[in-house]
Amino acid sequence: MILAAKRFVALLVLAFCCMASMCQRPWTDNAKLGINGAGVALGTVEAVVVARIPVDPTPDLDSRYGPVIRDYGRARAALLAAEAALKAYKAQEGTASMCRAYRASLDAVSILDALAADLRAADVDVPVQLEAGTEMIRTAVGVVAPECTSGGER
Amino acid sequence: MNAADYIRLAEAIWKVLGPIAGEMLARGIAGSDPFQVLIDKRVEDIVPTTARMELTLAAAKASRAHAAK
Repeated sequence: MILAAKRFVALLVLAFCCMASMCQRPWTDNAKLGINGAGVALGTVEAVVVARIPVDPTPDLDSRYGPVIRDYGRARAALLAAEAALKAYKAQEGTASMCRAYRASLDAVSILDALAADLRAADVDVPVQLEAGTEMIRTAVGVVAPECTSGGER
Repeated sequence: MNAADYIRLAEAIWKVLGPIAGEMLARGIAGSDPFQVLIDKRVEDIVPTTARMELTLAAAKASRAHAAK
């Protein structure tokens, strides 16, 4: 009970730190925090799916879990690509590299959304962390959208 | 995102923090940004590949095929 209370307080402090730090950080760092949060959630997805498959009575396992595994792989690749693009932008600033990082982050968001849809279709609970991490990336890239959607950048 | 979402995200981040909490704490005490530790964390180190799921799926299918014989 005391441990749970301590954990809750620690989480609350961390949540406020997240909120406070999000206001001060550049969007690239906020996007990276979201990418890492979604990455951790992917680890949870793996654990859940690996536990579910052997006990699932569904006759066609391929059609149920195939899309999940495919989009999991795509999500991993997209997160890695977004991470690389953000790193490249930090190393060499400029509108073109910023918009590459923006688009790579948006790609990651759309693939994470697709993975969440696959999980729902397979009756697997979508980890709340996956949605929260996805939302954090979406929010972070939201601030650069006008710059990358105008002036022929897109 | 509302406060509840941030708490959920904090829970996800918390799982990453476990192994690197010491370094974050040290940076915080030293006056630098503890969250930079998390930002610097590489996705490749966090997200497993699809191999384990693919193997589990293949094993489950093989087991069913064997049982059906």
